Amino acid sequence: MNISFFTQVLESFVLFKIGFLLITILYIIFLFIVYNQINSMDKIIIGDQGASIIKFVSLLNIILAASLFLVSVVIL
Amino acid sequence: MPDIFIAKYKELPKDQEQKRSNLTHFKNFVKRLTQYSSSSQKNESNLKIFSTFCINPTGISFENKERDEKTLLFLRRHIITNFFWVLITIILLLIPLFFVFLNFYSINPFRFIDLPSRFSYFFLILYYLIVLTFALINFINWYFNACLITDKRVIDINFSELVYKNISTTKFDLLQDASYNQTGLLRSLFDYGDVLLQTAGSLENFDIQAVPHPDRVVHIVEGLLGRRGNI
Repeated sequence: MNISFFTQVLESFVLFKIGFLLITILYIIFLFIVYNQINSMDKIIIGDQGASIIKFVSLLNIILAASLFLVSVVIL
Repeated sequence: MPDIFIAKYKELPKDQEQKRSNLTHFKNFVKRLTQYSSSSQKNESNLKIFSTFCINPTGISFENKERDEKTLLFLRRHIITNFFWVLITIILLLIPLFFVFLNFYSINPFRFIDLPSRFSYFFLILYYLIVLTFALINFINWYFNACLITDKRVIDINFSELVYKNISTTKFDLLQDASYNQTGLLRSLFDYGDVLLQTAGSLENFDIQAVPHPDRVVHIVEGLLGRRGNI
C-alpha cells in the first residue's frame, strides 16, 4: 500500500518535471523566434536606438529561460 | 551694330510648363518642411523610443533608401493604443500576489492545487517570464508598425503577431488623394486617427492606422502632392 503510494507520488513528480522541462524548451524555442524577428526588423529600419534595447531585453529573456531550464534539470 | 541672329521665343508646351512648376513647388515645399522642422520643432526632430510623430527624423534609415532621399515624416500608432495590453500585463503580474493573499499569506501561490513548493517556485518564475514575453511581443508589435514618408515615396511597415510582415511602398506620382478619419471619444481626446492614402488604379491603398495628428499628416502629404503651399 505504502510502496504503491510512494510510486504514484514519484511518478507524478517525474511527470511534473518532464512537463516543466518540455514547456521550458518550447518557450526557449519561441524566444529564439522572437529574437530572430526583432533582428530582421532591425535590418529594415536601420539606426533605430530602440531596436537595440528591445534586442537586449529579448536576449536577456532567452538567457533567463535557459538558466531556468538548467537549474530545473539539476534541482527538480 | 545689327544682331546677326536672334532666336525666336518659343513657349513651352503646357504639359512641360506644368511639370516644371510642379517640380519647383515640390522642391520649395520640401525645403520649407525641413526648415520648419529644424527651426520651430526642435523637440520633435530627433527620434526617440516612444516617438510616434516625428517631422524630419534624424539618425534613421531604412532598407533600399536612395542616396538623395530625405525622410520627412516618421509615424507610429499613438501611444495610448498600448493601454489595453499594458493593463492586461499589470493584471497578469498581480494574479500570483492575489493567490498569496488567498492562501493566507503563504509564499507558495500554488498551494491550493497541492503542487510541491519547489515545483511551484519554478512555475512562478516561468510564469513571470511568459508575462514578460507577452509584454515584449505586444511592444514590438507597436514598435515595428511604422510609416515613413520621404520626399519620394511612402513606406508602410506592417508587423504583427511575429509571423506577419508586410512592407509596402508607393511613389508620390502614384498617389491620388489623402484623407483622414477620426471618430470616437478617445481619438478626439488624444488627437489620433486613421490616414488613408489613395493610390491610382488597382494598386492597394495605404491605410495608416491610429497615427497622431492625422490632420497634419494629411496636410504634409497634400503639400508633397503639390496641392497646398503652406505647412
